[in-house]
Amino acid sequence: MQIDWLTVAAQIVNFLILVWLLQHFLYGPITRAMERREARIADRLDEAEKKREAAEEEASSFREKQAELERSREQLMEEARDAAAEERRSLEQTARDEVEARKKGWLEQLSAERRGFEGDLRRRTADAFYALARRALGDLADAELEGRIASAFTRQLSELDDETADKLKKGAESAEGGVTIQSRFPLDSKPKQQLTRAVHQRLGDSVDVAYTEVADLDCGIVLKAGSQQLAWSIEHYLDALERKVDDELARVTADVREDGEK
Amino acid sequence: MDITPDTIVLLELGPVAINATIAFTWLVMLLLVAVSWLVTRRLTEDEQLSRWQNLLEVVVFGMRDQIRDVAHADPGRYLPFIGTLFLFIVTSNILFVVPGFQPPTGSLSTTTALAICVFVAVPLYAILESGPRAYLAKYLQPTVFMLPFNIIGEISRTVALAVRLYGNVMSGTVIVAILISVAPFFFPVLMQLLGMLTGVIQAYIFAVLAMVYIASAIRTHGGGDEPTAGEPAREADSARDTPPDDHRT
Repeated sequence: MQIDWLTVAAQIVNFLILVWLLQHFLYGPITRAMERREARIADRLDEAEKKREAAEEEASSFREKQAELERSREQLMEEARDAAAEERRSLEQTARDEVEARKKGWLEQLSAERRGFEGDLRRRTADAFYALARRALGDLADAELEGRIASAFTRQLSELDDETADKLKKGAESAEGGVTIQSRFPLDSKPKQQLTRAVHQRLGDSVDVAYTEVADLDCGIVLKAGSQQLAWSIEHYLDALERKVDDELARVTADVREDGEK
Repeated sequence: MDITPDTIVLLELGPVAINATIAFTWLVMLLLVAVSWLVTRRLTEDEQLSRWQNLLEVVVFGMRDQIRDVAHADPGRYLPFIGTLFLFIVTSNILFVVPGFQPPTGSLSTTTALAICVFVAVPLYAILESGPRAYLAKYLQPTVFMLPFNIIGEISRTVALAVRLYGNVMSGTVIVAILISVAPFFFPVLMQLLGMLTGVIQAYIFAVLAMVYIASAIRTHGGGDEPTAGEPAREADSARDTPPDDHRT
């Protein structure tokens, strides 16, 4: 085992030459090539990343647009729904108005009919009542009834207010100081006295009282003093009846209207 | 039987004798440079690589990764030195299966030359890294009295590096030669296969140890990174001890 120092020196030189040669032919080129390749791959990856980012951006903008579209579609739908609801409301309102108008017309018609019927009824009732009263009073009329009417008239006269009394007094003065009491039947002396006394009390003692019979007078007593006249007749009762019938009819009509509105 | 190829003189050029060691070293150099040149003259940067370029890239980047692992530093500066050590040794050791080839690493002269290169490279790299003052200060660590021991450590390390490689390669050659005379069939083939394996391992160990020494020198003087200073030394010790032991078994 020996060391040849010349060989050692030669080997050292050889080794250093080999280092230089390999650096020149192997490590340098390979490292550079790989670095360049790595750089290019990195560039490509970078580019791909950029493209991916661009694509993502595009996708996100597209999604945004889609969302926008969706929103506008939703809005359009909402508007359409609102318009439809508005239209429906207006149609309903129109229909309601129409129904209301028809109902009103109908009620008016009903009211007119009622009025017509009322008038008719009143007329007929009055007619019937007149006929009935005329017939009944005609049947019942006699001097006694006249006497009672005279009593009632006397009461009416005595309860007469001052204004009417003044008017009658003036009427009597214009008829040369006389009043005429008309009746259908001739009055007995007693009612005549009552009447005369009442007239004197109310209109003054100077007033002359004349009694006449009038055949077409239904039933009652009429005091005529010139152009003024005071009467007690069955008309009062007929009027009262008429008012009552009117009230009743109005009530019935109101009920009908309420039912119709329900 | 020649134990070392130094004694085989192929050519006498006056006073200079070209022995087998130098000649086969040139052969290995020629082979390495030729292959490198053939492959790297048409390097491609595409993804489509030639087979050879791919092989060389794997080798070069494998070495870079190893250097980075050991040195924890950019491998660019160390690659030519460490990589050439590895490639030269591994090529020489593998080619020993070729009949007639005398591996130059089987010569103590060659391994001494390589160890001297490492011996010089270690302080060189350390000085390049952190300057001569910081490097020389290391020999006074931890105290001045340690100076002789530090120097002896440096030298013995170099000697061990040289002798380890020489012993392994030379023994392989010698064992094959002896076995051929004793049992000429089959057995030498097995031993040669084993020799290839140890050859590759030795190349790896030599290169890694060189890197460890350099890294340890750099770290001790470079960063002043005390905890890591002991670590590479331990690493070096274990690397020095275990793989040859494994091999010897």
